Amino acid sequence: MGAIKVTLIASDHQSFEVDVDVASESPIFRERVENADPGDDMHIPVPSVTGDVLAKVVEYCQYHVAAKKKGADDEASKSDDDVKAWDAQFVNVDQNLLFDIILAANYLDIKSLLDLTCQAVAQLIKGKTPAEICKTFNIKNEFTPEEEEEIRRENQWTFD
Amino acid sequence: MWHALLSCFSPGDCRAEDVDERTPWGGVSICELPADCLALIFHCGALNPSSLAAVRLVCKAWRVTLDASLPALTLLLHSPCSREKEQRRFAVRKLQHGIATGSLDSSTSRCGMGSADDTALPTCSLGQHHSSWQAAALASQPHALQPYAPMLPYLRSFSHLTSLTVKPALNVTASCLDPSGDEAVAQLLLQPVVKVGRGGLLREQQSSEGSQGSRGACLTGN
Repeated sequence: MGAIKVTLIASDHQSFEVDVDVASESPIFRERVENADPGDDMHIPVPSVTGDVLAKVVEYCQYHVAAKKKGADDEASKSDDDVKAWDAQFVNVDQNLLFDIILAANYLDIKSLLDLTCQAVAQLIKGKTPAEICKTFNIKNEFTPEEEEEIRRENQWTFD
Repeated sequence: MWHALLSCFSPGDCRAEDVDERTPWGGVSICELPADCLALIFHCGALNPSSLAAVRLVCKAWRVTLDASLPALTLLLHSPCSREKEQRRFAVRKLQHGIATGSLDSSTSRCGMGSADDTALPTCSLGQHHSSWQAAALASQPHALQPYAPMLPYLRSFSHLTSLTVKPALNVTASCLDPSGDEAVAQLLLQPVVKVGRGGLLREQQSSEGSQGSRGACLTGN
């Protein structure tokens, strides 16, 4: 008998059929599955998340569930380095998609994915000047020259 | 906590069962991320003081988020420490490690850096900067700071801390030079004041009790 399947349906009606343990990486989905009665339709709409974003979330959950299985199902066991390398590649996406994945991870309560994606954004901030940060994230400087000068004075020691 | 977070993000601020009429996400900018996510980026991204300071200059929302979710940042950013950046950075890492692993003991924290058992550490002269490094280290580790929150208001008020000793038993000893140049020492016994939570401090109880001075002025609990 095969694994129980759950179908996740994105806002644009793309659907993703996944094993229940993959869906269960999200406590939101897990609760939904656990509260389902036998024979219930296991289709879970996720109308706040578009298909391309949900595809990434599913990809992440599938990989990490497989990685945790430690060599079961004839698959070679994945080392921590393997997982780290895969994670690094996973978050190597354009900023808009990265932010959307953060929102989805936050909403779906997938802590490890949220940590990973937030860490990726932090990497984009590291080592940049305020002007570079503004440029990277397309942020408009809202401070008056006086306010900016005051903050710079407060922060001066970190730049010495 | 995460369920609480679910109620405070936007766009698409909703639970699974009531999302049907919301607009799907797409093309959000970083400024549209929920405050808790921004806080997570700032805190868990291991941003160094320079990056945190840069973030404070970017937009008002970030500054508010950063300052609100890391109360000690004011202390961090107002630290008089301004030299020997590498040593400071190292001290921060060392103290963070000690805090994270629970291996922080009084000798470690008193030394801050240059302890005898680690020859790789750069040595530095003790002085007013020494304590600033430690304060910066604590300030950059929000979880570690939570038990000591009552102490922060007056750590901020001293610009010339000479030492800051933190023990796992929640004893905090701070000494500083008072305006007349005398050293003041205070020992505080603090009870945990916050419940650990991501993205901010959830206050449960707060108390500080006991203080003693050795010479000079005596610091007292708030």
